[in-house]
Amino acid sequence: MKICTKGVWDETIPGITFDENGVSNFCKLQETMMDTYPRGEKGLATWNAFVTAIKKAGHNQRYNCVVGVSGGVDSSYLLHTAIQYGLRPLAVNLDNGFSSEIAVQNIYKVTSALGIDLETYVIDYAEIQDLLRSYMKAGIPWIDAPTDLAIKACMYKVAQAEGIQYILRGNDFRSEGKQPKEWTYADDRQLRYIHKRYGSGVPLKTYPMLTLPRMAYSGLIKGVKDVRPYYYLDYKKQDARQLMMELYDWKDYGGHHHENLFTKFAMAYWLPRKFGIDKRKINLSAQVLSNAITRDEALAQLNKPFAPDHELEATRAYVQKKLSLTDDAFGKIWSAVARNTFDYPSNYSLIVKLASGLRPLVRRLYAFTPMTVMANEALGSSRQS
Amino acid sequence: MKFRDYTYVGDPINAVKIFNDLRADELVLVDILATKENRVIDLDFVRQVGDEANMPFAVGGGIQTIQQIKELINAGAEKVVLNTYALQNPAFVKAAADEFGSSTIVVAIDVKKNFWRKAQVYTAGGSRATGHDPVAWAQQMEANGAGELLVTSIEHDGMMQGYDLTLTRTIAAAVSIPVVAAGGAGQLADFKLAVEEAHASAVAAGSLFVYHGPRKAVLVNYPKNDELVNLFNLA
Repeated sequence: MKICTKGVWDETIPGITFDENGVSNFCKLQETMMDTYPRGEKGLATWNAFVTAIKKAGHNQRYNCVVGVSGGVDSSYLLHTAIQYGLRPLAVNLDNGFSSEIAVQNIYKVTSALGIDLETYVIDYAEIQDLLRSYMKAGIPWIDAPTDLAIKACMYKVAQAEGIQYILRGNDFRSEGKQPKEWTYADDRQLRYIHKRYGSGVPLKTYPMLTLPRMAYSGLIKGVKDVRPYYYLDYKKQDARQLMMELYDWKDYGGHHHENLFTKFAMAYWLPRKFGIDKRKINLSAQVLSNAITRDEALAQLNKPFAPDHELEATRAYVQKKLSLTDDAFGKIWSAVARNTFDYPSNYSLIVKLASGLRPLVRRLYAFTPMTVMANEALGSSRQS
Repeated sequence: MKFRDYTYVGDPINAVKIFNDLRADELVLVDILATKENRVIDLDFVRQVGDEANMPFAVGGGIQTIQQIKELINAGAEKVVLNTYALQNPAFVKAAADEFGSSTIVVAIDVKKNFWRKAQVYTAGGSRATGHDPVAWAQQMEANGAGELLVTSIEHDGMMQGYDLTLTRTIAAAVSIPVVAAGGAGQLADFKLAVEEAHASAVAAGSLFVYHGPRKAVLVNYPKNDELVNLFNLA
């Protein structure tokens, strides 16, 4: 097994190539991202410019930004940061029926202590159930896509309804990295297709849908912008975790994104056991490159299981019950052919075309170049060379 | 809210799981549309609740036979809640109490003031007036063997402005079985008032444990043990 000499990206990652020094194209993408979004003084200056813009845009409003919260460390600390910089955030949480007690308590503690108003967007559970089941039946890797898409959509929805122009998100490519599109790409077109083909016909009435035209409307007409503060600020997850525990009695839940039980199932059970996919490789590589951990530490962590076996079996049993899947039905899903994300129609090629052809337009939607676009350029070109 | 304008607040099983992890003392799950739709609270649902709940829980909605109670208890419920059918057939309460013991039988009494401002017992999810006086009805249910009364003020329900203390007080004074105050809790202090001033044996709350903050965000929460100890000066 070939492993990137600078990180822990290996040959299991689709589209990976290595140069003569054994450095992978994913590593080069990560380095490009780091160069494009420097931290330190430069980053702080960019962030401060955003703060000024955010305050100006919402100067006479109750809120001037929307912050998506999950109860995890990134989004909890983002609320803390927003207040530190004098912003007036409205916290938005998406309830998909799988959030854990720790996550819910964390949101409660942090928003109460900081005096931040919270809005929850509750999706009718029957819809979520039908969507998650159809993604599993479709046999594609990233079955939690309906949740990811809904989180993004509901933030746009709330921002537009409240007349708020800025959405702050707790993504941090320095600790997360860029997952290959084959593992995680998703959009509303693909969701509708999979739901129609594999679902049991529950109409999507409460599920928030962000179509391309709707996003363009929000961005171009309403001026809603997506900002990622951690691209610019010296954010260190470990320190943030410590601080959150001390200040707000915030609790750790173990494992990236394990605050949601279905996400935990998708990441620690479905992907590794059915597809041989370990998303931690991407996360840990990113952390190695940003010097948060050493390469040896990353390799050692990869040798460790996601969680104890009995715990993962319990998570699986819980998910199965919550999705009303009998042992038989789950068995069928489990033994069905593992498919690729791009076996199903999506807007991917359209988005890449639009994004590279219409850079200025993308600039108005995002306050940065989306990683999908950057990755397509970086990974695609190195493949040709 | 006030038994009207229902709001969807999420998957009940996840809520049960979270209340369980938060160590709630007891849960009451009532299928408020069961009677109207001429069915009984779903057994599968009760089983799923039983899987997630380590604390005792009571279930209600459309119960009319001894057999149904048997099945619900087998599915994991500790107690059952009777309401509409108790009014149609008060003798059923006695039969159920004889069969399962009073501690299993909770009678829910939903109260609303009529046009003349007189408190009356309502049924079928608050849609039908019965003409019964709440106090007399409570006494009759006690005599029939009910082990506990769940008294809800329909006007206070979901308003989060405090319980109907007069109603709770008059019923608690008229019977010797436990009276649980329900409908209206908006802050922890409301619990204290219901217990200390209206002599409720226990308190129930919905909105308070589900909604958070000025925008009524749906966020399941429950007071910590030491908060409750402080509240009732139990230390």
